[in-house]
Amino acid sequence: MTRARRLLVIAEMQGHDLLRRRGALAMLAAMPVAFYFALLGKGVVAISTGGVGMAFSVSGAALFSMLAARRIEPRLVLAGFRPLELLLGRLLLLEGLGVGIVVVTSVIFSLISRPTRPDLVFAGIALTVWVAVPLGLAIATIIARELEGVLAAIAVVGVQLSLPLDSAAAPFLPLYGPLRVLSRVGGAGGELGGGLAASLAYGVGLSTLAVVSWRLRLRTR
Amino acid sequence: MTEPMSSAAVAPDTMLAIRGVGKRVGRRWLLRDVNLDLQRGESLALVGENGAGKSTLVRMIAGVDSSDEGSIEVAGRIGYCPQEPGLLDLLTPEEHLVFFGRGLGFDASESKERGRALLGEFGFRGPQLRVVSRHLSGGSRQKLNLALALLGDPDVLLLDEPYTGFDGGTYLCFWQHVERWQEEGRACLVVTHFLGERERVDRVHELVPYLEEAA
Repeated sequence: MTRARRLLVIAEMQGHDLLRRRGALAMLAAMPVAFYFALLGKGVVAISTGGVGMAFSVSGAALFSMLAARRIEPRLVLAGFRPLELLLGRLLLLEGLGVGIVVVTSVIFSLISRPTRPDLVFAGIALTVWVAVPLGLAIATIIARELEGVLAAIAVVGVQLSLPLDSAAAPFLPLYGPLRVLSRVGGAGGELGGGLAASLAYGVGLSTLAVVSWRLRLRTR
Repeated sequence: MTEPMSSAAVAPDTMLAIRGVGKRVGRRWLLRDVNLDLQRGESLALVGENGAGKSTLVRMIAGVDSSDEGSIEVAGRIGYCPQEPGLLDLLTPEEHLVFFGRGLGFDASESKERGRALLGEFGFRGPQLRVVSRHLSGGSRQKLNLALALLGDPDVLLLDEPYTGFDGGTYLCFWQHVERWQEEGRACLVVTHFLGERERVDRVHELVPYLEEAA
């Protein structure tokens, strides 16, 4: 079986597990929309807040998908899967699922708020998913306990939400890039390269951190 | 570290050789200087009081936990049945069989065929194959746990109290299978608490808790 087919098998099985959690999936989809509607009267700020809601739900889904499988994964490695394949298979599933949520959420936000730059709504939400999935995976591989993991995710995303984008500390948190892109949806000037670069860097950096941490945890054979 | 069998110092039929293995938890040694051999076609009961490190030793042999000293060498493929079924709650038994089977190199239909045959031997009923595992009884989950360990036709079986939740008939059936697996040339290590089971195996190895503080 080729590497690609092995990844697809892992993504398929993780997908069965995730898609049967209907209540969790409904909340996953509803959270960004709820954050958005909470600030609907504040104009395009609501879109950024919806993006933060997206980060909460996606990183939480990634975290729990990882923790739910922590007992079975050593046995899957014993059965022949590589630790890296298990992580990449899950990443594939979550990013794929994220694409669907990005499309639906971006359309809802754009239709209701009618921002000047709907393309940046899509880009900002997509970058949020790009960063939030490896954020959840990295937390799960490093902490590996439900309560502590959830608190860590809430702390990271919550502190990011409370910090103004122009504060000195904001760039040191992972959602700085996506939020910077989302802050431009109303047509405000300024370059976009920094937000895009920060998003890409955090996505790659957190994925690398998750891979390294995961390999260390399963480095027993 | 668990390694493939390579040493010329062990007998040719030795499937498992453990030499001076130790495991530390923080500053405390949980296990120290464990030595154990298991031959082809032999069954061994690993016994000891709670906290003696039986499950930890089996995890180290399986390669899902690491040792802090010594060496573990295994010849051939390992089948590991942990004490608590490590299953995905929302996958069906059939999906578990396919998942593990694909890792072992079987296609989906072969994985199901092999798995159904194994489960059938322990009285696992067909309709349960499509029920998500969290809705299965404890005994049925344990049967699936055992079938997943056997799916790859292993040479060395590591069974950590694999009969938890079995009814009387399935429990006896399990021990008949241990005899059969031995006849097929597999080496079987069974973690157990029951004194009565000691007569069902070739040898008994007792682990005692290691009490000395690590230096």
